[in-house]
Amino acid sequence: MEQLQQAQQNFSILDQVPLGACILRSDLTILFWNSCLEEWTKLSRAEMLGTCIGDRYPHFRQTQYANRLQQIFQGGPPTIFSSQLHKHVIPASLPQGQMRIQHTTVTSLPALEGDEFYALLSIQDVTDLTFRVQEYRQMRDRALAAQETAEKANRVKDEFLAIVSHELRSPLNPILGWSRLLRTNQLNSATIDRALDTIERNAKLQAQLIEDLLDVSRILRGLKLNWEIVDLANTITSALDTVVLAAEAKSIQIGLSLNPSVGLVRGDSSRLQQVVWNLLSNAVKFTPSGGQIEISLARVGSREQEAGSTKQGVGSREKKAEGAEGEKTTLNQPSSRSVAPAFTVNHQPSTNYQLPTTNYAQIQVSDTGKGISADFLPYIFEYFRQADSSMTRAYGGLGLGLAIARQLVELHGGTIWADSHGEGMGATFTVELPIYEESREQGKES
Amino acid sequence: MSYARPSDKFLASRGISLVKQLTEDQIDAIKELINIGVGRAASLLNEMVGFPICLEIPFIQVFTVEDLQQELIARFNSNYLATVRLEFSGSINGSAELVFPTESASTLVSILTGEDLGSPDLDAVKIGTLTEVGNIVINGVIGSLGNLLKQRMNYLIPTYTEDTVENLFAAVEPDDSTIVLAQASFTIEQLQVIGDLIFIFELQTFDQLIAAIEEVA
Repeated sequence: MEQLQQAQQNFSILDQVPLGACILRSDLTILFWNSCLEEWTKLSRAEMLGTCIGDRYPHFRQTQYANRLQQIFQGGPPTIFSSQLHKHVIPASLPQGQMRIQHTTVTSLPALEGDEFYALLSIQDVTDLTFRVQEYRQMRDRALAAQETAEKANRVKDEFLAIVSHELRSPLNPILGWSRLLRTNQLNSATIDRALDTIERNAKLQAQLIEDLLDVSRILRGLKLNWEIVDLANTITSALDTVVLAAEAKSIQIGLSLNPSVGLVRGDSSRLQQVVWNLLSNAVKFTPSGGQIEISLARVGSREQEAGSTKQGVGSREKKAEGAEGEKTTLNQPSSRSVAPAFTVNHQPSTNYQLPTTNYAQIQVSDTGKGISADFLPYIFEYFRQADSSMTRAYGGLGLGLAIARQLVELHGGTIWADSHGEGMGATFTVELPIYEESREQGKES
Repeated sequence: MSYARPSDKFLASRGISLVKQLTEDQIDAIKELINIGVGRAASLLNEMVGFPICLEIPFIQVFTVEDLQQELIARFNSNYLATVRLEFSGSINGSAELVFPTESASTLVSILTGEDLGSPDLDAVKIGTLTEVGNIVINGVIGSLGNLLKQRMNYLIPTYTEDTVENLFAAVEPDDSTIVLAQASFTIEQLQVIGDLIFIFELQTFDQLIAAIEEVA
């Protein structure tokens, strides 16, 4: 008791410091408990003095604390308990309820009598500091991320400009070349035909490029659609007509499976045709000679309706069918609804699952082409993106088709996504558009 | 890098006459002392972080302050170093420093706290942790030294500094009265963390250390 009183007199100056301060005897008896600690812990010195700190805070008896305190009680060098490695040496909460984060320094003090040493714990409240540091780190990380995004966007735009110039220039070379040859008037009629064909084809190609660019700028400014009732079966066949020649030139087989009772949606027919055309021409472009392309039009409903169906989807190959149900990457697809197999939904019994909003017309275009690497899949619908710049050289084009397709599909309230098992494994593009109300009624009657 | 003890010839060539007094046995004894201390620190760190940390002292070298400075400049250029320093007085006066290249320091903090490395800079919170780690390692060694000397030493509060080699030693007067006794490099196995332990002792009290070491050697 005497020692306690003596300690109060000798160490009273510790009540004047803005740190938590506590003095322990080597048996862990609390000899001093300053007013700052009283305030932090709401434990008065009357309660604390003379008691064993290990009784209230058992971690003081754990070896990692006990060993280090032992050195202090022998007059050894100061010991630090940092906030990251020991958050609460003496647990204390802030008025708002969260725990104070503490940085504690323990120094040895010669005992008031004998040649023992006491341990003086000086506890700094670093809660505010810690949060400020965290805030600063987050701010800095966000700034860095924003900077990176901006730099990346800039790079992509630079690359895009390079691609645009290249792509616009390439059709000009044959046009100019053949025009000069035509001026010489020394060509036979077969060569003249070839010259005109080439000029026409390249002029069309360039017109298409410019059209794409204009589309992008229109879409970015907000495109107006001419709303009407569109029969998707017609849309698909018209789009198909424009790519058949290109496909034949590469001996690519195109398989078509249309469910004629699906067709009607609300939308802009020329824009929807553009979507299908984009997907088809992409498929032709990236499928090697002798490959295969499948297009289907089907009606899909909710997930429950699809469950239990075993029929294969549009993919002609086993692998692709698995992919459609298994590990598929979905873009702009709120749920994980799997792809419905073609021609199955109409055979499903009508159940109470059939909610008005769950019926979609689904167009799928799958190919046996070069596929999409998992790395690139998430970016495939972004503007100005192609898997790499060398691809532009190999395949031509601006990499706008899919971005335009996505914008158009979304303007129609639909979704578009792509699946691929990776490079060389082909790809499947799926578009789903909400079926026009009345067409569903007609569908049921028929 | 040679792990061998510097030869007497090498030391003599650098004019470290007093160091000549150190025999091979004495240097071994110092090495032993530091190893015991570092071993204690390692087991304490293991316990704190819950996974094995191995601190190794592959070699110990003896330098004058100037030579040590040159050595560190050669090794770290003018890069920033993080150091934790403990100054002591009593039967031996001097300081002990734990020196890390800042990247090593930051890696170490990430490992110990399980936090993502994020950026390799050291902020106030990380510095607190590093000071604790430095404190543990230094205390391990100084603790065994104190036991050996059987005399009460006085210690200042450990301090953390981040600076270039030149500035870190600016405070140490490179005159005849000062000698760096040991430079002990340590590594944490598999973690690519490298640090140096540097002890700077004032010369007039060096005899006592040798005498104490003689007792155990």
